[in-house]
Amino acid sequence: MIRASKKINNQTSVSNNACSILYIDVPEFNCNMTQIENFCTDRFNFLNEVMKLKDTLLVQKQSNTAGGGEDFNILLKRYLGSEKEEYKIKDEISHYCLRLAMCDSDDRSWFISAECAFLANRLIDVSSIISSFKGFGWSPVSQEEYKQHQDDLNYLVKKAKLDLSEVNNTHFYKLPFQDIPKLIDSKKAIIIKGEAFIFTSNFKDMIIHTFKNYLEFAMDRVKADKTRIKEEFPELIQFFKTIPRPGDGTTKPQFGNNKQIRKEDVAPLSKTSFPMCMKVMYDTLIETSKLKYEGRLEFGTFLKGIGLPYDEAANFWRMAFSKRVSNTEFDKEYLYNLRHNYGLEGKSTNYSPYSCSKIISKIPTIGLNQVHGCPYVLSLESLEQKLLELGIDDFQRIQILEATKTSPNVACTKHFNYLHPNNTFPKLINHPNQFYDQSVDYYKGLEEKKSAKQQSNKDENHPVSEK
Amino acid sequence: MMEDDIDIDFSNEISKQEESQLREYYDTLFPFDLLYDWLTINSINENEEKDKKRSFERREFSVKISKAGKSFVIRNKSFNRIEDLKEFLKGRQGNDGVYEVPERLDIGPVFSWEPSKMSTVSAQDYHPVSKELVFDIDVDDYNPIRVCCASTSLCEKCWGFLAVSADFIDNYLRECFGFQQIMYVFSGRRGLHVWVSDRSAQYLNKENRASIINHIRIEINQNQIPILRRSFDQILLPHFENHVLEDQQIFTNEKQRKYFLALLPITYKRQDRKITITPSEDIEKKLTEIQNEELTNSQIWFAVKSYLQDNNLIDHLYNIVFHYTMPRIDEPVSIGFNHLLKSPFCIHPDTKKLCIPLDINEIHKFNPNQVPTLDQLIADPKLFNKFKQMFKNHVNQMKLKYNLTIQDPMDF
Repeated sequence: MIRASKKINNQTSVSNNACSILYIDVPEFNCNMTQIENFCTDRFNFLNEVMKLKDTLLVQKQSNTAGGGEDFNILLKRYLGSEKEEYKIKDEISHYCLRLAMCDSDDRSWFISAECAFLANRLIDVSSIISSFKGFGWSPVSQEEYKQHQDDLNYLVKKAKLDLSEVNNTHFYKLPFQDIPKLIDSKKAIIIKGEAFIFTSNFKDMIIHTFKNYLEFAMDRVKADKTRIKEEFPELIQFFKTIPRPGDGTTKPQFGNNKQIRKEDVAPLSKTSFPMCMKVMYDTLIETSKLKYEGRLEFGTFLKGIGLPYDEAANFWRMAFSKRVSNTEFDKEYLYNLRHNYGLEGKSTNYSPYSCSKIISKIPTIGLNQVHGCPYVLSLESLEQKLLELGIDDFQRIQILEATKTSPNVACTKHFNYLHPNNTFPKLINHPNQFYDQSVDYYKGLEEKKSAKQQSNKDENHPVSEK
Repeated sequence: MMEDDIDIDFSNEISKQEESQLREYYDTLFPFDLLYDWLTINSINENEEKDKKRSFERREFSVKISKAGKSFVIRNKSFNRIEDLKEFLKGRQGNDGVYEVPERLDIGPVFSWEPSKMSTVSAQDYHPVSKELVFDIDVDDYNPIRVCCASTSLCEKCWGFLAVSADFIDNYLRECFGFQQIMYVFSGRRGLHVWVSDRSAQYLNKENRASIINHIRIEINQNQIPILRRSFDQILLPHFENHVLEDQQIFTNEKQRKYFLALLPITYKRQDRKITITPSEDIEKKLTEIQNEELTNSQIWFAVKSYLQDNNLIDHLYNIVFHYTMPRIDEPVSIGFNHLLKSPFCIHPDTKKLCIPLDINEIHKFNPNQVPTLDQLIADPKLFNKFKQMFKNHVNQMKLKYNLTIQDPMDF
């Protein structure tokens, strides 16, 4: 409360700022088509850079992001310039136009995450935005409320590893639980009678998540209105069609272009080229002859992605289950689903391999012998056990475990780097098949180097060789 | 997997006598009016009759029909009036004079358009709008930790797993989300269904539904979220110590003992004394030592518990109790809109038992083997009254809430 009243003096300026970086009021500007085209293309490229920066930062990130802020500011300056008025116009026009362009496109979710990443970089004075802008539904927690729920709220303080004695009601905000499902998933909120309480260390997440909801909602509205806009501004819609696709294949990776492998290849590959999630499932399958439904889906589509054709896959699974399941039973119980995965049954959808985000969202249930999901988001203890089993040395192991705190993808990338020393892949692992493909490329590179070396040795030995 | 994929049964064609019993049951006993109110009360905005009717028209139903030795599941059915549903359930007379009586009724979401006319609108305009928040817990998910029964059978002892699940869910939903219109239903064979009808529950999206489940996923960690911590103290630990230990012979049964030992960590570093201990091995040794002393499961448990407490393994104590008592929810059913759930007051096609509402306060005393079957109901229709009354009370409470919210618009 005290904090809020202090801000009253400069409330107008702060709230203007809040509104403009959260894009709440649609601006009125006069501008021509050329301007719009330039603005949009620039923002598009800028967002692309922001997303790349986010990836690199995650890989490099150790304890803080001090270096990242610099990089971002350079990007921002290059994109928007430093003239205040022009800056605002360009920023807003390009944002609202891209909303319109992306609302019904395949790249909509890319756009939304890019805008969220942009906002995350821009949010500096988090608490002043929270206290001055309430349009997203959050509200302060009163002293009485804080006292009443203190025991529960302490959970969040302990989780953030802060001192309980330094905390008071102004360190919390609350909002309807429906607005922040992701924070509820990860227990960064305490829910009491439908209200989610957020601790100061997660205010930034709270703003970004609600901003994301707002963008989704706003873009749905634009989408509903797009026919009218199409008629009124055909040239705008025409231009939108020419905007390039985001990223260099990061959003919709194409896998399955690998050369085919045989079922015998799976075992050696599992040692050299499988990410942890797939390795865990493979090992469990071989050891116990069991893999539950969700695991079969994740692992099966992965195998398909690395080039195991249907016939080989059928034999692979049949053998893997053979300790426990007879041939007839296999044909009855499992073959149909496998055919389904390969698009040979049902709606003939050819299931594509699961991405990391999808695998992360599938959390195995305790006690059901389920081993699917991402090992880096599950209990650290069993992960450590697994790393020990794989013979990863102490130093690397601690690094990987530490990295899970930043993000599972970073930990996975660390594991990749461990398996593939001196590799030159710059990207964060965000798909198990990317892990595999990079690994295969890596070994191919090694082979080529080796044979080139041999070749040159040969050449030295036989200087009169025809080549 | 969807429930209707598992249950397809090609062997049981329902007999003629059963058909006529089912027809009679739908004709004279099944509480259609209450079902109608229960499904539609929370859709009321302005005009009671109109809003309820519209919501009912757009509700998806699905039935299973057996014909010539094969079962079919018919989805995307919808009805203009509750009377039409009744007529439909009483079956159609085929050319051979035989009635095709649907064996069971499943309830789906309310869509943006009538499901039976879905082909008349574009795919974009046809989407689920609302659905009760539901939980489905099947006892077969407890197979690894129960010794009293196997596969789909269910007795008073293993009902305990479902009863404590209900206690936990009830407390969680009321405390954290403030939901009030919660109904517990015995599915007729092996399961417990929970239906949450509050308006705010009906309109939750998929992500919200998933977050309700993910929020209570346990972590091996001493700083447990408050709702788990409290449930542990007040619901789960007492149930584990008073019932699960003896009912499921956690230590005295060979298979159970092995299972228990596997839950313990193999090695554990004690930070305070900088030594590594081997809990799983230690306790196994201890258990072998005392094998001939004829101790009860509880006595053994208290010894194990003090070992865990003495060695700073409190988080593992949490983990063990959670493992034996936390609800094993069939998650896709709660999260997705495309999963249907069996309607209360159905007759279970395999057991012929009535699918009945349960009183949460009496849920531990419930005996699944005393639920009336179709035969018994037809012979003595009075058996039905008690359950119908319970359903009526539940619906009346919902109506009461609805009246209150109309007087106090702030509640919307």
